[in-house]
Parts: sequence; C-alpha cells; structure tokens
Amino acid sequence: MSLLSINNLTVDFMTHRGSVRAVDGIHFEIEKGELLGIVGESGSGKSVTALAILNLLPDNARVEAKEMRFMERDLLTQKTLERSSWLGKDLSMIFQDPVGSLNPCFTIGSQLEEAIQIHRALSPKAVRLEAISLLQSVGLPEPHLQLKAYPHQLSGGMNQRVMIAIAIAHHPSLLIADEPTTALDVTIQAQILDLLLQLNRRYHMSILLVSHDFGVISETCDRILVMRHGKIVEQGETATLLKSPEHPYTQMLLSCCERRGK
Amino acid sequence: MSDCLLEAQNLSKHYVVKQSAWKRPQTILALRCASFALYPEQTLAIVGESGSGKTTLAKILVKMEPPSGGALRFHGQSILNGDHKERYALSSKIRLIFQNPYSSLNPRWRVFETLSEPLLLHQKHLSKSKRQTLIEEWLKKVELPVELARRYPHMLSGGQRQRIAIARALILHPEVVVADEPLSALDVSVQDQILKLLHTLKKELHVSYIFISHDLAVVRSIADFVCVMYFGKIVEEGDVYSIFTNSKHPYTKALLESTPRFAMGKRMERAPIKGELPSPFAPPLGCPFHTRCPYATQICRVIEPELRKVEGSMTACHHAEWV
Repeated sequence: MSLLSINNLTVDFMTHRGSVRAVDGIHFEIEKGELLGIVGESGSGKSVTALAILNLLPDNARVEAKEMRFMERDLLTQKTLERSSWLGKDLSMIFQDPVGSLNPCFTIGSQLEEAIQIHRALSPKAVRLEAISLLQSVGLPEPHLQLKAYPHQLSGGMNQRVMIAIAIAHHPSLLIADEPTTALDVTIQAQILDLLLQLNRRYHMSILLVSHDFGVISETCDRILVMRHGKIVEQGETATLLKSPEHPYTQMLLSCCERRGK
Repeated sequence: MSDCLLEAQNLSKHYVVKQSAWKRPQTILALRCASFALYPEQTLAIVGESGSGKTTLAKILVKMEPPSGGALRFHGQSILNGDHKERYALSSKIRLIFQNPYSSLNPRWRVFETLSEPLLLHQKHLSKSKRQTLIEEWLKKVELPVELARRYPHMLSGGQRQRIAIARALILHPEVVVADEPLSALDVSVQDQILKLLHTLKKELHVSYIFISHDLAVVRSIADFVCVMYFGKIVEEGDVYSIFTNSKHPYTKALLESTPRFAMGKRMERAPIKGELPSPFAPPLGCPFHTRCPYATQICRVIEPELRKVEGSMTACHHAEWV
C-alpha cells in the first residue's frame, strides 16, 4: 500500500469566461521514503496538483478524482475538521515564497511554537526547547536568539529554513515542497536541497518536490513526473528518464537545461 | 584606454541606515571600489548572490543613484557630474532592463504606449504613424505578434512581458544595455528563448550588454567577460573561458559547483559553502569571504586581499595559487 495514491485527478477552475481545466486526469503514487519530483513549466498544473492534495485551492476550483488516498484516509470525502487533526502532522507543505508565507506580525518563534502546540500537549518550556532543537536541525545559526526575530529580519534562505522547521515539526510522513528554492540564490539552493535530502534520510520522510528546473529535480529525486498542460507526459526513474527521454517535451526541457549547463 | 565604451573606476556606494529610533545611524558599504571596462559589442557579466551589490552597481551605471566615490566614463568622458541636459542625452545611450517584468511595465498602459514613451522623449520629430510602424517593427524583432500592441501587461505572459521590456530598452538603439537579472523571474525554458533573443539583437544592433545575474550557468552562453562580486566587491574577473575552466577564487568555484547539474542517481550532500553573506552592519575583518571559505587561514582573517593577476584572470584571494 503506497503512502499517497492519486487516481484520475482532475481540477477545473470556474471563471466568468467558462471553466478551465488545470489538471487533466493524472495518476501517481508515492511510496514511503520516496523522493518524487514533478517538473514542468508554469501553467502545467504542478502547483495545482500539490495544492489539491492539501485542499488549499480557492473556492472556484472543482476537484474530482476516482481516488485520492493518503495513509488510508480518503482525501475526497474528509471534512475540514477531520483533516485538521492530521494536516501538519502527517502531511505538510513548504511554499515557494518563504517571506510571503510567514506572518510578518509574529516572531518566527511564536509561529514555530504554534505549529508544535497544535498537535502536541507540551508545557511552554518544553515547546520552546523543541522549537530551538528544530531550528538547530534545519541549520539556523544561534536558534535561541533567532526565535525572537521577525521574518523581515531574516534573509530569504533563513526564512525558508524556518518554513522547513515548521513543516517538519512533527516529522510528517510526506512533505510537499512547491518550488522551495526558486526564490533563493544558487549557493543557498544547494544548502536547502542538502537539507531536504538529510531529512529524507534521517526520518525516512517522503518528499514531493515540485520545480520548473530539471537540474534541481534530477539531482534530488528518485523518480520524476513531467507535466504539461495538466497531463503527465512522461514518468520514470531519474536515471532512465535522463538517459533516454521519450516524449519530445521532455527532450526539449532537458535540452534547455543542458545548454545552460554547458 | 580610448576605445573603451564604458569604464568604471573604483566606484563605491554607501548608504546610511537607521536600524531603529534609538540607535545611531550606521553606514553600510553596498559597493566597494568596483572597477571594470566595457568594450564595444562585448558582453560583461556581473555575477553574485543577493546582497553582493549587483543591483546597486546597475543603478549607478544608469544614473538612478549617484555613487559615493569613484569615476564613471562613457567614451572617455566623465558622466558623473553632467547637468540635466547631458543626463537626458545619456539616458538614450545607456538603457536598463529590469529584473521583474511583472512590475516594470505600467499596468495602465497598453504595450503601444509603453513602447512609445522612449520615442516621445528622445525622438520627438517622429510622427504618430512613423512611431506606429517603428513599434510594429520592434514587436517583430522581439518575435511577438503585432496585435500585442493593443494589449495591457496583465494579458501577457512573463516571457512576453520581458520581450516588451527588451524592446523598450533597445528601441532607441542604445550603445549600452544594462540587464539586471532579466531571466530570474522566468521559467527555465523561457530563459533559454530570451537569452537567444538577446544574442540575436546584440549581433544585429551592435550593442554592448552589462548582464547581471546570480546564476553563473546562464552567463556562460552570453558573456565575453565575467566579474564575480561578493559583499560589494569584485573578487574575480576574467574572460568566460578562464572563469569557467580555471577559476581561482574559492567563491567562484563554489558558485560553479552550486549550479544544479544532471545527476544520474541521487546527489550526495555537496553544498560547497555553508552559511550566508555576512551582515553588512558588521562586516568581517580581512577577506569578506573568510567566514564561509573552506580554505581560510590566519592571513585571510586579518588582511583583505587585493585583485591580482593569477594565470588568466584577476583574483582577490591570498591562496589563489593552490586553491
């Protein structure tokens, strides 16, 4: 039984000019401890897929699927209240824009402590210690001082580390990372990707990594899905897919990255 | 040198920042003694992380900000102290392409109006119909359909907007175009198209680029000469070949290694440098890179290295020979 299984997922957006299909009947599964990458250009439906799993899409979206299961739970029928008992604990997400996804009015300490308290009854002191150890595990220097900092006082890379600390507060089985490094410099990107790999190894955490950069995906993931216009055009093990891409679109994406890397 | 198009000598810029109402204002050095020369029909790339002073440099070059010190010459003539008239004339010769095509176009203007603005300012003699044909010609040059002239920016994709921004910068036939991270807001596949477009236009118009980017990989296909900046300082400069095949500065090496590559199989942990840029409020003593450098020794913590020639390139590192 796989951790997450998605069967025939379709997402339509209702607009005043008719409905738009963003995701068009995709199937995929994630096993325990697997690193799965979704690669595609903007508009290919990769972020919408990630958001649909978490039920974070706006009200005008219509999500339909034959099956959408995560750890034996049916994601299609669950109510919001039931969902909140395990969201953030078994499944959590990192967003693209780290500065924009943290609340600017609260210190990172209070945001991190909130995430810990929601699923665990701990004394305030224990929560603080837990927060410090989490910040340490994501490699933030001087965590006890940083707890009092506001997001605007930290750099993009440091904010992304805080986001990751919040996401892994309960060692989730699956972490969805939607373009986690797009807003960051290449040197910091390498550090964040290293961190994700460490987490995968240490906690046997599955990661769904979404990116438009084939380089990032191919370095990190075991298996790759290539999306275009809401459909999966090709999928396979990283090594096989890179060696012999079959779909012309995959070949095009690869040649773009190769030319850059030359 | 006389044939040099744009020459910067020891350009520096500091900002006075007040961190809070109870603290004294502090001076931070955004740019420290940057010197370089741009020759006709060449592309000079400036590479570095965010916070390394690249955008400050771009702003000084197009005279959006005055430098705190140093000299800037265009065709051998100093352009720093000109009056309004000279600055105005210069603004058609040196043009800027901004980083974010979503915010650099006026959302209330149609593409036609955006592209007419430079013409209205600098080529007042053109009649409306002539302007129209010129704009249509330029839309074709940047590989966009002519109908786009009537659209508003929100109706365009990121790549299309960046093409409009390129047309706006080049429509006056400038001699120098400063492109400040023109690709970073775009998808990898679109980046490739824009790079090709910039390359074709360069050949066609004989323009020189100053291409600013945080990604060395992008620079490789377009630049002739590369300056690597760190913490407001140029730490290595050289032609593309020597930077990419035989870089001497540990920071350049780290940047090269950070670029994601195709890896058959899983990557090993290999972030080449740890940590982040030091705080500009507490600049480190000695070499600014020593806090993250794997090769740092005692001398790096005390004495700041100067740019010196080491094989093909100029490098500011004490240990360039054996790194």
